[in-house]
Amino acid sequence: MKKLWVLFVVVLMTLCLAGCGGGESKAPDTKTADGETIKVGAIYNITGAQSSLDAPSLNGFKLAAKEINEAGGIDGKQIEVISMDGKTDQTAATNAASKLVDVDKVVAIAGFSDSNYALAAGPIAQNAGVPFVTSGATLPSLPEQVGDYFFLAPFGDDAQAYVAAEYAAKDLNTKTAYVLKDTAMDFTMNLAAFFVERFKELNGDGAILLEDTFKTGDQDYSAQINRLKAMATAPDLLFISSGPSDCGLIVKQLRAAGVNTPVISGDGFDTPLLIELGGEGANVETYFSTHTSLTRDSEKVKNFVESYKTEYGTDPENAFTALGYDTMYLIADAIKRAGNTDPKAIRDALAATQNFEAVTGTISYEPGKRVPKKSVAVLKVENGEFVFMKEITP
Amino acid sequence: MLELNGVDIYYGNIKAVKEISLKVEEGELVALLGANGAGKTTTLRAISGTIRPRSGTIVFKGLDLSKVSAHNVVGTGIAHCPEGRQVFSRLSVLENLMLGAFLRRDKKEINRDLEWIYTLFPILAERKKQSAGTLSGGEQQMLAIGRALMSRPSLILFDEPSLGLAPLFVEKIFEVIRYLKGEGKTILLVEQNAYHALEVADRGYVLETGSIKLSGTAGELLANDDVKKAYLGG
Amino acid sequence: MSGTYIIQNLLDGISLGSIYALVAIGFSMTYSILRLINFAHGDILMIGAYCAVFIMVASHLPLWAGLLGAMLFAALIGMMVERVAFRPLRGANEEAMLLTSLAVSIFIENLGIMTVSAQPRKFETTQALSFMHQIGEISVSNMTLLIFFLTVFLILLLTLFVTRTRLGVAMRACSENLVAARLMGIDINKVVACAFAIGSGMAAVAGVMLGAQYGRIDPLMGFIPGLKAFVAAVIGGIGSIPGAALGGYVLGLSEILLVALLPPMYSGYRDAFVFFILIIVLLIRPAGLLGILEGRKV
Repeated sequence: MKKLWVLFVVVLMTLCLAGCGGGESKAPDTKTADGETIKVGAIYNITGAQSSLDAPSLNGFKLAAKEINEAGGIDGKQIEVISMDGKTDQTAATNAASKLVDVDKVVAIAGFSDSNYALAAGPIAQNAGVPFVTSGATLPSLPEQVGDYFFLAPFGDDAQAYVAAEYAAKDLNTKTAYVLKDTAMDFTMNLAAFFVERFKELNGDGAILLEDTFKTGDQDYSAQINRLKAMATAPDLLFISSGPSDCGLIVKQLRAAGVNTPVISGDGFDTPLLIELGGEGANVETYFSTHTSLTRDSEKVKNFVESYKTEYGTDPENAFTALGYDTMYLIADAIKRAGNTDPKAIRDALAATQNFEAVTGTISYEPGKRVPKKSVAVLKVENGEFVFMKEITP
Repeated sequence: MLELNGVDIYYGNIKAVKEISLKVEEGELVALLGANGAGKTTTLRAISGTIRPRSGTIVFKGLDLSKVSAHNVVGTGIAHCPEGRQVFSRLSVLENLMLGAFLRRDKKEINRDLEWIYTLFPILAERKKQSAGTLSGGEQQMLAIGRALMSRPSLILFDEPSLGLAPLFVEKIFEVIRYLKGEGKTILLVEQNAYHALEVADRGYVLETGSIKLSGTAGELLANDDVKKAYLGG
Repeated sequence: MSGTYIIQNLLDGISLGSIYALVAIGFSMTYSILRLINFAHGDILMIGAYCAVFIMVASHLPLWAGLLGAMLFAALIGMMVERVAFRPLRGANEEAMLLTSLAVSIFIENLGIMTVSAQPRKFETTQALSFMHQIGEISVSNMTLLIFFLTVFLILLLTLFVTRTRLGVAMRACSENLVAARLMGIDINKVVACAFAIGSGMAAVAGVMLGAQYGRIDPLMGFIPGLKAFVAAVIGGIGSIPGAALGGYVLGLSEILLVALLPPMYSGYRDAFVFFILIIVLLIRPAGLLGILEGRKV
C-alpha cells in the first residue's frame, strides 16, 4: 500500500513536470482564416545556458515573419512560425526537429546560436529532406558534417576568430596572448584554435604564452586566474573563448583579481549578460567580434532596431536578434524564388542565393559552399554599452 | 494497572500475536516466558507504542494507549528497556541518562534521580563523560536500565535484560530488579532465563507461537511439568 | 611554483570549501536521521539566493538582512517540503525516498524557471564586500573572509546546539536510533522538521554566499553544489556533522589545488576530480573520513 502511494507521488510529479516543460508555442496572429499557410519551424534554446542568445534571436525571427505577413505574405500565403524550445539540451533539440518534420510538416527549419545543438537537430532535417538554416551557429564545417540541406546565415568561426586576432594584433598592438577556453563546447574549442592559428601567423610562433581550460558553468575561475597572475611574463592580451553564460563571470573575476589586461573574444560575448554579470569589470578593456553592430549608421540596421523596439519595447539585446531576423527573410526570399513550397525547390533556391542584403551584411553562397562570406564587426564595452569599433572583412 | 484484552498484532500479513489478554497489577512483577519468536518482544513493543495492534485494547491506569502517540507513552509512566540494550553509543553516558528524562521538566528531581542511578550503578558515575559505545555489554545494560528509570516510570518493561551477559552481570541485573520490586515498582519482565525470572516474579504467562499457553503464580509455573520440560531444562 | 601561488590557491580553496561544507552539513543531517539522500537540498540553496535578492532589491536592505530573510524563508520551505513530500514516506525504503527527492528537485527547478525565468540574474553586493586586500603577492577579498568566518561561526553554533540543547541531543539520538529515541519520548516529526529547518537555513546561507561571491544566480544554480555536497558528505562520513564540514573543505581545497597544480589542459575536468577524490577516499576508508561503519538500524 505504502509503495503504491510512493509510486503515485512520483508519477504524479513527473506528469506535472512533463506538463509544464512542454516547449511548443504557436503564434496565433500568423494564422489566416482559410488555413492556407506556409509552415516554417524555429528551434531555439529558450531555456538553459543558451537562452540569452537564443530567446532574442527567436524574437528577431518572429518579427520578420510578422513583417512579411503584414506585407501580404509570400505569393499571398501567410507564414506560420512553429517554434520549439531546444532547452539547451541535445536530446530536446533532436525531439523538437523530429516533431517539426514529422507532425507539423514544415517546409524549412531555422534556429540555434550554438553548433552543438545545430549539429544534433540538423541531421533530422537533412534525412527528411527539409532545409535547415542556422541563424547563429558558426562552426564552418557544419554544412559538410550535416549535408546539402544545411545552411549558415552567419559567418563561420574562422572569420570571427581571425578578425579578433587581427584587431588585437594591429589595432590593439598586442604581441603576446593568453588563451582561456571552454572545453565543453565545440564552438569555444574551435574559436580558440582559429584565434591561436591567426595570432601566431601575425606575431610569431611564441605569441601564445599559455592555454588554459575550464568547463561551461564552472562559476569559480580562481585557480586559472591565480595561474595567469603567476606567469613569468604577463601577456598583452587575454583571449577568452567562452559561451554567453560564463563570459560575464570570467571578466568580473579577472578584474576583481586585479587583472586589467585587454580581453577579446567572439560572438559568445555578444549578450546582455556580459554587462549585467560582468558589472564594472566588463567596462575595462573588453572587446569582441560579432555579426553586426546595432549602433552602426546604416539604413537597414536603423529600420531593424526601430521595428524591434516597437514590437518588443526594448532595444535589440544583441546581434543574434538581427541574425534571427535575417534568417527569416533569407528563407522567405528562397521560397519566393522557388515559386512553390516544395522543400527540395527551397533548398535549391537557398543554395543559389546571391547578394542578399541583410541587416548583418550581404549573404551569398559560393557554389557548393553553404557558409556565407560576411564582414565582421568589432565591439567594445564602454560604460555598460556595446560600442562599434571597426568593421573588418576577413 | 495494565490490561491487555484480545490483542492481535501483525507484521505485514503475518500474525505475530493472537488475541493475547493479560493483566499486571500495581506493585506486581510479572514474567513473560516463551521460546524465541513466541511474541514476547512484540507484546512489549505494542505496550510501549512502537507497533500498533490491529485489534484489541491496551489499557494503562484506565487510559486507552491506542489514543496515545508512541512518543507520549513514556509520559504516561511506562518505561521500555528494550532488547539488545539500544543505548545511543555515540552519545555520552550522561547524555543517555538525560534522554531518559526527556519529557520531564523538574530539574531538581531529575538531578536527584541521577544521583540515585549513580549509587545504584557506580560504574556509570565513573564513566559519565565517556561515549556509551565504549562501555562493555554489562555496563551498557546498566545504562539502559538507568536510562529507563530516569523517566521515573510506574511500570517498567524489561526485554531480555540478561541476554548475552557474563554470569556476574546477570546476578547484578537481577539484584537490581529485585531492588526495584522492593521499591514498589511494577515490572513486566521478558526473559529467556525462565528459572531466574520465576524466582523473582509474582506471576507469569507462557507464550507459544503468539498466544498464551499457560498462566499462574510463579510457584505454580515452577512446579508445572510442561514448563519444566520446555524452559527449565528438565 | 612559488609559495605565494600555493597560498593563494589554498585561500580560494577554503572559500569554496566553506560553501560546500555549509551545504553538506544539512545534507548529512537529514541523511543521518531518515537515511534520505535529498537531491532537493541544492535547490533550497537556490531558493535562498533568490529570496535574498528579492529582499535586497525590493527593500534596499543590506546583505545581512537578505541573508537573515533567506535563512528564515528557506527553513520554512525546507519544513514544508519535508511535510508534503517526505513525511508521507516515513518508513518507506531508501530508494523510494531518493526518487521522491529527485522529483522534488525537478519540481522546484521547473517552478523556478516558470516563475523567475531561466535567465541568470545579477546578484549585487556592495563595493565594500568585493574589496580586495593585497598582502604582498596574495589577494583576499572581504567576501572570501566573510564566507569563511560565517561558515566557522555557523558550524560552532550548530555544534553548541547539538551538544548543549535538549532538542540538539535528541537530534543526535534520532540520528543513531530512531526506535530507541521514540522510547525516550522524543517526537520524531518535530526533530525531523527541525533538522530540515536548520539544514535548509544553512543551505540558504551557502546560496547567498555563492550569489554574492560570483554575482550571478539562476534557477539551476543549486544542482551542482547539491551534488558536490553529497560527495563531500560521503567523503567526510555520511551522517556525521564534523565529517560533512571536513568533507566540504577537503573537496573545495582539492578541487582548486588539482586545477592549479595539474597542467592547464586538465582544468576543465574539475568535476571529474571531485569524483576521483571520492573514489580514492572510499577505497581507503569505506565509511568516509570521520564515519563509523555500522549495520543498518531499523
